[in-house]
Amino acid sequence: MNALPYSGEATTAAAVARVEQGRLARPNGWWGMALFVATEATLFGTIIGTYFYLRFNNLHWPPPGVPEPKLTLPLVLTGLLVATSVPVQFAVVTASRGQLARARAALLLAAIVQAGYLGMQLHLFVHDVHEFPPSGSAYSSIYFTMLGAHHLHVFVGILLIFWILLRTATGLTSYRMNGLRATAFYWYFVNVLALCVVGTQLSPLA
Amino acid sequence: MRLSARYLDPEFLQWFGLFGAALTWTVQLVVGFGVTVARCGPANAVLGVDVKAWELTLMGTGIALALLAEAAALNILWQTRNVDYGGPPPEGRRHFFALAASIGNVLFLVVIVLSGTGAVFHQPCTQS
Repeated sequence: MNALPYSGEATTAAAVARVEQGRLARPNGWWGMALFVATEATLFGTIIGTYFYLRFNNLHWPPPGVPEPKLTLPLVLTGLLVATSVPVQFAVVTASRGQLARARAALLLAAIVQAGYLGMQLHLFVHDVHEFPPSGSAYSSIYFTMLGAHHLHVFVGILLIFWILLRTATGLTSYRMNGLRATAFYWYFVNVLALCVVGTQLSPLA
Repeated sequence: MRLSARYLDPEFLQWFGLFGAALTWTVQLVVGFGVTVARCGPANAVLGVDVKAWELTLMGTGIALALLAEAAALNILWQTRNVDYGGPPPEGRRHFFALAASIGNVLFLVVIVLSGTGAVFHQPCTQS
């Protein structure tokens, strides 16, 4: 008889840990997230490509009257956001060993920092909208499109992490473990995206 | 000095061998297009883009990465030499991927060299 339970029957933390140790391939949920991330990467590739196309067709970038982007605060905030990959990865590792309480604590810590990041970024976003509205120039139009799309993705990531926190409140199952893996993958992608977006946003300073 | 086992992991070598050269060519084309747009746009008065330097750098990096991808594919092919390409996964699948990659990478290497050479000798900002 096979010592490993069928993954759908792994409804306790100990059974999930045994399934995870014996797993030979990534679950379908992970591959589904990989495909989703590929489409999102295409979207952001297009947005960043548009940004540079417009930049190369304008002599002054940002245009006269629009302030240059600030350097310190976006870099610090992005550093904080990227750092939340550590507790998220810690949550995946501990959950796959059946240590649910540790995993949930790490996820909660990550979600708090991410929510703080998003709050600060939204405050800056609204401030910038009042200073140079999106309809003012090609620069402001692509600037707010890029930042708005990124903030939306961070918001979705935070929602996913809260969803996993809620789902695991009643215990760990193989299905929820797959959800955690997929959420973590999405979160790493959002962090890579944050680096690309902040690099593009600060490129006029180079 | 030994390379970290993480980077010699057969799964990593398999995927790098299969997609490394293809992705390198994609990046060469996309960045090359961007550089040409920058060179021919009004902003070049401030930016002063050197298309040839960019294209030569892209081609050199592309050749190096394509050769590394080929080395990774050949490494996997050698590791799985006793397995049939129709055999059970992961070894059989790995052998099949490595076989396809070892041939495909040679084609991508040629494409990278031809794209780069063409871009270097092309006169930018003129209608062809």
